[in-house]
Amino acid sequence: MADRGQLSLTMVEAAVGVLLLFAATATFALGLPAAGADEAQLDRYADDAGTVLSREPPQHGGLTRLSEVTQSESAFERERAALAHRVERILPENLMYRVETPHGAVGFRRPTGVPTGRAAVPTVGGRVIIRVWYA
Amino acid sequence: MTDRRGQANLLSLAVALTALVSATALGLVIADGALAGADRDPGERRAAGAAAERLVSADATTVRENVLDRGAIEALSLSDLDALAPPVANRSVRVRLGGETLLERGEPTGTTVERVVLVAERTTRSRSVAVGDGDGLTLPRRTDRVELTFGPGSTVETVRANGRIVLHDPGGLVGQFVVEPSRYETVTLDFEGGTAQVGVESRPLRTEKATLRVTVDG
Amino acid sequence: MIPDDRGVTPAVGKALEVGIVVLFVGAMTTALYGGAVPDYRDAVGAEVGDRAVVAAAERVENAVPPAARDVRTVHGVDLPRSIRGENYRIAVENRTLVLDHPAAAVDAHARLALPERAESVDGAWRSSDDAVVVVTGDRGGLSVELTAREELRGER
Repeated sequence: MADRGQLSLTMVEAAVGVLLLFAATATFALGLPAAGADEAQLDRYADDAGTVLSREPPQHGGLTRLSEVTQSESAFERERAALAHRVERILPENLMYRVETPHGAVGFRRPTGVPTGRAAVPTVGGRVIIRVWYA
Repeated sequence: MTDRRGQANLLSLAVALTALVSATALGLVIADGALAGADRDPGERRAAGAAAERLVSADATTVRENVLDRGAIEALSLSDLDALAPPVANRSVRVRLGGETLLERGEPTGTTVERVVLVAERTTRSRSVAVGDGDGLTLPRRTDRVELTFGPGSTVETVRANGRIVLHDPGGLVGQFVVEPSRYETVTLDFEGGTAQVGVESRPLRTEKATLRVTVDG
Repeated sequence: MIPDDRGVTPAVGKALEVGIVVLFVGAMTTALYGGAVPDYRDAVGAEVGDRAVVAAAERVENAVPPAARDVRTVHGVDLPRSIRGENYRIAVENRTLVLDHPAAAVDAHARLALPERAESVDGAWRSSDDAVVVVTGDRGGLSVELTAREELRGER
């Protein structure tokens, strides 16, 4: 009956104290998430693609390639293949894209949960939104 | 009887305090490590981004936004780069366009920023054509600059570019003239008023796509 | 009397324990707040200052538009309320953003990469301001100014 409770009570207190310290340490030991450098680079890609497309001469008529595509629904249908082809040629190979215009969209379906870059280009016919992500 | 209790309590207290002290020391070591790991040197990413942005939009290196001038970009020196983008000035940096390295200082292994650009070089196409009144000449490549040289004895009075009058002289155009048509459509030159032997020199831009990569520090 | 080998009586033993624990807590607190904690605060403050200055520099650079005829733009800038618990100033010196903070360890600067069109860059922000970047000018030259939104109200 002699040494039953005394030693272990203090040890329990000590154990609780150590656990508290570890909990406090764990809040900063787990590290920080990465800074979103991926998204920034993807945004730059999309922005660049938008800039290049918005200054390009059109295939047939209209002011620039992008304004030609946003002119009307029929113009969009006519030009969408050429637009897709041009966007693919401009962007690096490891990227997939989606170009959204007021008359429809061209490109791949956007996956969820993947970092994507986005750029918006204003044109006479409306806003064109370019999204890119790593394949 | 409980004889050794007092000392045993003190002993267990000592052990407990030792445990706490070592746990605290461990926590401090981990804190140091976490702090060192959190230092991302934002200046490095910024230098790469700023340098790429300046290269892609400065007047000195580009024809227009996101279109690099091949001659200018290949003639760029490290001090030019430092002047364009001061954040890069004291850091090791490497600039690559497509596959080739344009500039390198030190051995940078840190952040890389990529930009999609077009690289343009001007090609020259010239030919000499005999034109009569009402003749039209369509240039196959879009260009924003055409030089017309009218030979002696030419009597052409008016030149139109896509219907718009660009040159007119009732006494006959003689000599060299520069016409700047729109970059966005192919140009058709119409000659009216007489005949001439015209030298046509156009300098269309040939562009190809490339990726500009700027790597900074490590 | 009951014979025993105890070193001290229970009361004194307990008092000793309490005393030791109090001493321990006191020593621990002094050691931490005297040495480790200010160092950590300095390091974190320096890191926050670095990032704040870099973010502000990027905001200023993005505020300069491409060549245009007449420009007058105002962009808001988000600055942290305080760094290491104190107010600070960000000023422009020689086309560089400099962080001016009472603590010596917090010290950051970022060179601005602006086009040559941006002829003059000046002004300063206090951390308590509603900070803005004002870009005015024309095709010939631009001037970039750091100021507080309150100062602008008169001019607008």
